[in-house]
Amino acid sequence: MSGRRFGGAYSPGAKPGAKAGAARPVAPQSRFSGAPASRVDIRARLMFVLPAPLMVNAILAIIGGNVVETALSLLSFALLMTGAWLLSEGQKAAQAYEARSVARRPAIPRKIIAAVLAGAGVAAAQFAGPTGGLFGAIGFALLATGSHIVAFGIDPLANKGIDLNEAELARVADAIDGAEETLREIGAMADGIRDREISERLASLSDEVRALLRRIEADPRDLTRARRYLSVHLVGAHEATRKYAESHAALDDPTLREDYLTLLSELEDSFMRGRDKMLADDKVDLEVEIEVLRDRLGQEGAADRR
Amino acid sequence: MSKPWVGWLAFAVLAATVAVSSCQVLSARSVAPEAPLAGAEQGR
Repeated sequence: MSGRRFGGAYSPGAKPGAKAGAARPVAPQSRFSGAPASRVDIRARLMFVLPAPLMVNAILAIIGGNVVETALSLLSFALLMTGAWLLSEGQKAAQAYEARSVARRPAIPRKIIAAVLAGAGVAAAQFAGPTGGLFGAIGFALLATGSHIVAFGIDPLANKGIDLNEAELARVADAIDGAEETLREIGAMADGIRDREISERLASLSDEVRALLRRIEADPRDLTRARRYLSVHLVGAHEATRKYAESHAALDDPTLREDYLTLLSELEDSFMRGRDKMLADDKVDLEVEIEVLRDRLGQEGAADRR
Repeated sequence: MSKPWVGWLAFAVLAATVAVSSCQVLSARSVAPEAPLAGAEQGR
């Protein structure tokens, strides 16, 4: 297992002019910067803990040789735990949906299914219990499902986007999802390479790509202009990183590392230029629009004076 | 959801429902051994 390469002013490959003892500026980049945070609230986590007595009961029922009670306890436990897992996944999906200005509704309504599973789990537990009545089970199930929906809400049921039809929205959402996935894979490969400079360079590149993605989210019409960066440059960065990760240990060639770092720098510059170009294009669009409006106002003013 | 306390209240109901359902199975097990004894006393 190789260690991660750390370094300071006197380390090989240090930048000339770096002062010994001087505090190294902390780069504000990490592969998480600009990435959407995912958060599951404490209540959803508690849903994993509450069914625990059912598992204890299932074990005791196995010891006691009660097959029906074992099956019902295990079924109830499985339903409630699957519901808790779907709830946490549903919360993550809902947060990702909230964070974006262009998003499709989740393909699977996880929170709704979680609410139904909570009801089913409670009903199964009622059957395993001493009362075991059908009406009691149905009542508890309805109570659990209803309170689950009020407590955690339901999944987003509509797509959101800016004046886009379904196909365009799908295209933008797919492009952004694909790029985020590629960035995640690049991040994972960067961890495997265990080289500080390469990790920092890749984190910086990821920041640039994410800035571009946020621009596309803000105005999905930019996707057409950004497609080249996402489909050629980002995929190129992914391929180069994959090949470097696979072969750098075996080849151990410093020239290869330098070439790879140069490529990453060039890609980062290219993404930066792409973003600047989009900003410049937006400025031109705005200038044209202002010019047209001013002309029209001027003509209307002249007509009023006549 | 309009008010956070509504969500917490609903969660309290849900947690109570799940906890009561899963715990009553266990508590029933702890009192179950007494049943044959009661039956035996009746038979005497």
